[in-house]
Order: sequence, then C-alpha cells, then structure tokens
Amino acid sequence: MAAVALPLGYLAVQSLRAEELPPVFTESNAALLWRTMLLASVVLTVTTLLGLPMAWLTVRTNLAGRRMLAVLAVLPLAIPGYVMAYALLSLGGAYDSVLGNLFGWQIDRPRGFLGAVLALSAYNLPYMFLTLRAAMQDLDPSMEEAARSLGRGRLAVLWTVVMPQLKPAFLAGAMLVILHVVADFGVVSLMGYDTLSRVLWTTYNTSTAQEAAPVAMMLVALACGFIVVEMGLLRRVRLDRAGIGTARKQSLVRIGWWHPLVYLLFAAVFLISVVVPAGTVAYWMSRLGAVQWWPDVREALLRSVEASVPAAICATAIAVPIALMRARYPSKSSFVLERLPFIGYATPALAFALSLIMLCTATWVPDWLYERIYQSLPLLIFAYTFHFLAEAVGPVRSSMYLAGPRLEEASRALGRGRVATFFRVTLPVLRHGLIVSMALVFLSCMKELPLTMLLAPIGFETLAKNVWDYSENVEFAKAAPFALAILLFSAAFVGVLLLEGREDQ
Amino acid sequence: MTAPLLRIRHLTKRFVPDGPPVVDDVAFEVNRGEILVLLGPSGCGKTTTLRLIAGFEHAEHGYIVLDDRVLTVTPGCGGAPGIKPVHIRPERRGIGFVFQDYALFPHLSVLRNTTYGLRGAWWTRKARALEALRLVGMADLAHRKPHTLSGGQQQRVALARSMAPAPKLILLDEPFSNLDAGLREATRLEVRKLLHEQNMAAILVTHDQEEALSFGDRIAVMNCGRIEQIGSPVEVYEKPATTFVASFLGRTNLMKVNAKAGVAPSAIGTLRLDRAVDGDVTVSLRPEHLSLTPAANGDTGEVISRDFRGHDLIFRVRVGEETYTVHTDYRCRFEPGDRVNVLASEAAVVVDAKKK
Repeated sequence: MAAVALPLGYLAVQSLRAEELPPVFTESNAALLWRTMLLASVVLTVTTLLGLPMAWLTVRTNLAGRRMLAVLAVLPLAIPGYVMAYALLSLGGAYDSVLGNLFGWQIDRPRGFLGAVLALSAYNLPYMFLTLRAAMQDLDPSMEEAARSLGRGRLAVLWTVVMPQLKPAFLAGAMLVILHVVADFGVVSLMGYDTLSRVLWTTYNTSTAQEAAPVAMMLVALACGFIVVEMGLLRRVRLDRAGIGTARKQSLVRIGWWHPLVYLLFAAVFLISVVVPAGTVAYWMSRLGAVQWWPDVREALLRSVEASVPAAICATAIAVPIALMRARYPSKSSFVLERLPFIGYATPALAFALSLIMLCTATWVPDWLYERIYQSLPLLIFAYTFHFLAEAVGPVRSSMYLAGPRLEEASRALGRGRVATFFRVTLPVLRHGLIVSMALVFLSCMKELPLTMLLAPIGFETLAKNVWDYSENVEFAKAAPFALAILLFSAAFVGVLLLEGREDQ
Repeated sequence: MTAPLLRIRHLTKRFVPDGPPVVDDVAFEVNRGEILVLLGPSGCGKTTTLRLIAGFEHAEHGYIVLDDRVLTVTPGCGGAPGIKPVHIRPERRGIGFVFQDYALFPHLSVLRNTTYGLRGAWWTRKARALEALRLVGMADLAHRKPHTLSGGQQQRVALARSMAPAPKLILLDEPFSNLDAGLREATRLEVRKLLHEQNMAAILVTHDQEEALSFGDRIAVMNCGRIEQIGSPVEVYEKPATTFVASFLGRTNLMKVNAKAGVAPSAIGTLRLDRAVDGDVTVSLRPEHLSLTPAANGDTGEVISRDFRGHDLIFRVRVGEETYTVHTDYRCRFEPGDRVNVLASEAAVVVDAKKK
C-alpha cells in the first residue's frame, strides 16, 4: 500500500507545485530533454552493436572458450557507472594522470559527451548482452530448420526467423539501458555532461527543491514514456512454441579463421570496461603510500552497511506477500500489485528522492514529524527499500513458482492449517529465493549513489558518496580505497547473480 | 448394506460468475473400501470435482458428506433453505490427496515428508511413517531428498505420505500420468492392491479409459461438468448410456436406425437390440462384437483398410454408405479390397433412449 501511495502522492504534490512555477516547456528544458535522449540513444546504439554480436558469438558459434568469454563479458556489471567514470577521468589529463605517470602519455581527459557515452556503454553493455544471450539460448532450433527446409538461406533465416524472435528480449534490454542512462547521475555529473539528472542535482543544490521539481517531472515523464512505448511494442509479439515436442540442441556455426578477430573484439571490450577501472583503482591505491585511509573507509563502510542491511530486510519482507499474492491468487489486482515495485525501480532515483524531500518539507507536514524524518536514516532506508523492491520480488517469485501451489495444498490435505503451512512449507521452500533477494538488494544499496546524495543525513558519508566527492574534487588517489571497497562488494553481487543463474538451469 | 462413505449431491462450481458451470449438479456416492474412477476428457471438470471434495475449491452449490460428517453444504441444499453454509477447511477433512506432480516437499527428506501429516510423539510418527513407506517399498530410501528419486519412486512416496495418516478416503489426481508406459501399468496394479488391502476408499481422476477400466471398482464418466453414467467397468463398457460414453470408452460403431420391437434393419442386416424400443434411435456396436466372413450373400462390404497389430487386427469395412470398424483376432486374414460380410455377434446397445 505504501508503495502505491508514495509515487502517486508525490506526483500529485509535484504537479501542484509545478503550476506555480515557470512552465516546464521552456527552450532550455527542451534542449535538456534532447541532450538526455541523444545520450540514451547513442549508448543504446553502442551497446546493441556490441551486445548483439557478442551474444551470438557466445551462443551460436563454435568459438573456443565461449563460456569463459561470456562470464568475462558480464563482469562489468560489478563496476558502477561512477567508478567507471572516475577511472576514465583519472586516465588522462595534463597533471597527475594514470597514463601520464605510468607511460608518459598525455591524452585529454575524456570529459563531456564522449566520456559519458564511454562510461555508460561499458556499464550497460552486460545488461544488453545478458538479455540477448538468454533469448538466443531459448531459441528453438527447429524453427530455423523449418525455415531452412522451406528454402531460405542462413542469412535470410537470421533476418526472418531469428531476429523477430529476439525482439522482446531486445526491447527489454533496451528498456533497461535507456532507464539507466536517463536516471544516471554518477556518470553525467562527473563527466560534466548536462542531462535532466545533472541539472536536477545542480538546481537542487544551488536553489530549492521546488525549483528542481519541473526537471524531476520531465525525468519521470520521460521514463514513463519509454515504458509505455515498450509495452506497446511488446503487446504485438507472441512467441509461444506452437505444438509439442521437445526443443533440440542448436547447431553451432563454425567461425574458423575469424577467431583472432573475435578475441580482439572481446579483449577490447574487456580492456575498457574491466581492466581500465580495476587497474586504475589498483594504481591509485599504490600511490596512496602512507596516507591513513583505513579509519575513513571503515567509517564509510559502516554507514553503507547501516543503511543497506535494513533496506535489504525490509524489501525482502515486502516482496514475500507481493509474490505470494501473485502466485497464489492470480487476478487483475494482484497483477497490478506485482508490477508496482517496478514503478519504484523505473522512477529515476533523483526524481524519487526529490519527491520524498518535497513531501517532507511540504508546509502541511507538522514540525515534529519533519524533524524526525527529513534527512533521517529511516527515510534513506525507506527510499532504498522501494527503489530496489523490484530486485527482491524477482528471486522470491521465481522460487515460489518453482514450488507451486500444490505443495501448500498437499500440506493442507495432510492436516496443517494456513499458518503452519506457511512456516513449515512455504518459507523453507522460499529460503533460497529470500537469500538471493536480500543479497541483491543489499549489494545494490551498497553501490547506490543518487538517493544517498539527496537523502542521506548530514555527515552520513557512504562509500559511494566518498568516491563521488573525491572524484569531483579531482583527488583520485583519495577516492581509490572507497572505490576498491565498492568493487569488492559489486564483484560479490555479480557472483550472486551468476550463481543464481546456474541454479535456475 | 452399510451407508456409503462419501455422499455428494448437487455439486456445482463455476470459475467465472455467469459463465458455464465447470462442475454441474454432480451427484455420486463412494462406498467404504471402494475405488471410484472419474473418467473424462480434459477440461470436463473431473479434477475440479476432486478439488471440491478435498476442500481446495469452494462449492457454489451442493453438499458433501463424509462418514456422516458434513464437509460442505450450501444454503438450499441437503436441509432447510435457511441452513448455514459449511466449508470445512482442507486440513480438517481427513482426506488424503495425491497430486499429479506429487508435490513432495523439496526441503524435507522422504521420511520427513511422510511424517508431515502425522501427530504425536516423534517415535510414533516415525514408526507409522516407516510402516507406510514399507508398504510402498520405499523404507530403504527414507533419508533421501525427493529430487534424488526417480518419478516412480516419488510417486510411491507421495502415496505413502497421504496414506500414513490413515485417511478414510484418498483422492488421486492422475497420479500415473507422469510415469512411462511400462512402469504405469505395474504401479497401477500395485496401488490398487494396496488400497484394497488397507480397505481405503479412493477416487481416481483420469482421462485414460484403459486405466479407468482396470483400476476402478466403479467408473463415473464425466463430460462437460456432468456425470453421464456411473457403473461397474463392465456395465459402463457393455451398456453405455449415452453416445458420449460409448465413443469415449473404447472404439465403437454408432449408427442411427429405425427400430421396431427390439430389432432394426441396417446395412449389415437386421440388428438385434438390447431392449425393446420403437422409432429412430442411435445404437452402439463394439468393433469386437463384429466379425467378418468371406462375401456370400447380398449385404457385402469392401475392406478399405487393415491395421495389423500383432495379437489382433482392426479393419475398416465399407458397407453401402456406412463404414464399420471391426476388431478381429489374429486369424482373420483379409486384405484391403476383399469383399466380406459383417456379422454382429451381440445385441446392439441403444444409447439414446426414447425420450429424445
């Protein structure tokens, strides 16, 4: 219920305020919108042009070591955008840069549009790669064989049979990439490329929350617009296997002499998206020397954990009834209920945080309440919980579908009541899903930047915030230990994802 | 004769309000120790009927009484119009249920699965569970987890689990359909023997007519939410009450004839009917009640197909406008194109009585 009331309430407040303010559709705002969409479409193009062949190569060809390469291609998931941006920024520049210090190379700092595209593409490529790869693995080879037997060549089959079947996966991947770019704060702020998010931040920082509201509205509207378009495009797709019979193994395309070229492609991607950030962090760590960094890092680590652990528990606790309702009482309303967490996920974090601030600071909120919640830890935990709720619902739901309602009915038929059944059968069966849910939300919160920037209590310095602050001040060495801590947690995140994927098979 | 164990009247259920009923005014009884089979095509409401009896679904109308205990009653049913509706919760019904996919608890061992439905001290529960597992031959694997078992073994555990609390009635929802053909037949016989030995009544749901005939003491044939006929396997097979029963249970030749005092002319000569009726009726003649002889007199037909199956043969024979299916033993050696006479060795069964 809170999940419903919150975004709606905030939207209402938002639009009320917006009317008293300068109109949303000014020339500068239109330019902002254009810059945001330009960035999103370029990143989408880059990730598609790389992700599609990479997925195909690791699924449908006899590429040697393709499993290993697939894992390597997923690794950039462990590197948050702002760490990526930090790494790229510290590579070049006129003074004290990684390349300058190590090799004596002088390159320009990759700032602005180009830098943003590079960092965001590297960070988003795994999402596109993974969705396309999963879809390709599920392709039914008999459909392609049928098309071949009907006289179409390999290339024609690729266009007429394979590509159309990949459409839903591509749309889902594209949706993720676009939402990430639109909502991104860490990369664009460090790279200094003005998008809606960055302007929202600077406006809020230099002025008031009210002034930033129109931009936040545009941000939300943009995200909603993309979701509506995607749903419209998806509606017309239907891809069930018609008829029975088991799908067989796919035949592999031999790529023979192309091997070196393919390895070069993977190596280049890996170099930019993993070696550069990890190497940069390692380099700056080595430059730290005698600086006493551990007390600060420990402090930040504690802060991050302090906010992330309760959020992970809350999100999982809320996810259980949501998933249970959907799996056991399928109806229109439970369908809507299950979708609600995705609103929290799709709402750009900065806009979400701003809406919470506006709610807290609204004139009708009594002073005692305002003092309790504004810039308080519970509010931050609340924001984390609902922003990442969708991540918690997924694993709980899939383990619930795995279990199926028959188990509960079996327990009832054996003489156990509803409550006993829940604790003795449902919960134990869900245990694995609950652990994965908690791990995912916890690790996401550990990396989270924009919500923390706006909502954290004064002096509440998390790992992510430290990385951003030091990078913004061009103190790359000082940022390194915090970035390293985040990389370690993120690597654990990817580990959980990969393990979960393995258990699903 | 003692009172039946389970009595069901007017049982009705719709999933969509104002939609067609999935279970439509179903009534039947199950006696102590008796195995009743609910047979019907998929979507005929047989599984829903079973779930209504187990209490997983709420009946819209009707009453269910087990051993003089009212499990389900709706107003206007089985009592005064103002009677309070009753729906005993599944866990209070004392009815065992074996699911099609077994629904073994994946986080519990075989033994723990089996003790799950038992109450009391651990050692008594354990002893009882082991006894049930021994009955199905699974006591040796009591400490294994369900996913390490084969389909047939899981099936046995599921059965032991629902039999352990010694319910008076066990409901079996297509429990053999996930087993492969060879195992299915053996398991079927074993389970049947076991149920009879324990004197447990059971209701089995299946769409497999062969399974129904061999497993059931009685068979209830369902179609479109209604029970079309209830009777012993022999009765239902030999005297189908409706065209649906006749064609669903085995192969049959259905024909429309004009009867007069228990006999009717047809393409294969004058047919003897199983009862004295007059007028237009539909009759059913089982293929094995027909035989073939080399063409001799007027009503000859032509063999149009021959399906050799080793121990027997199935012929399709065209006589005039009609085509007959004839089931003969291995000795009948006709080829397509041969001229033959079709003879009925039994009386044809009238499947739509005079009322229509």
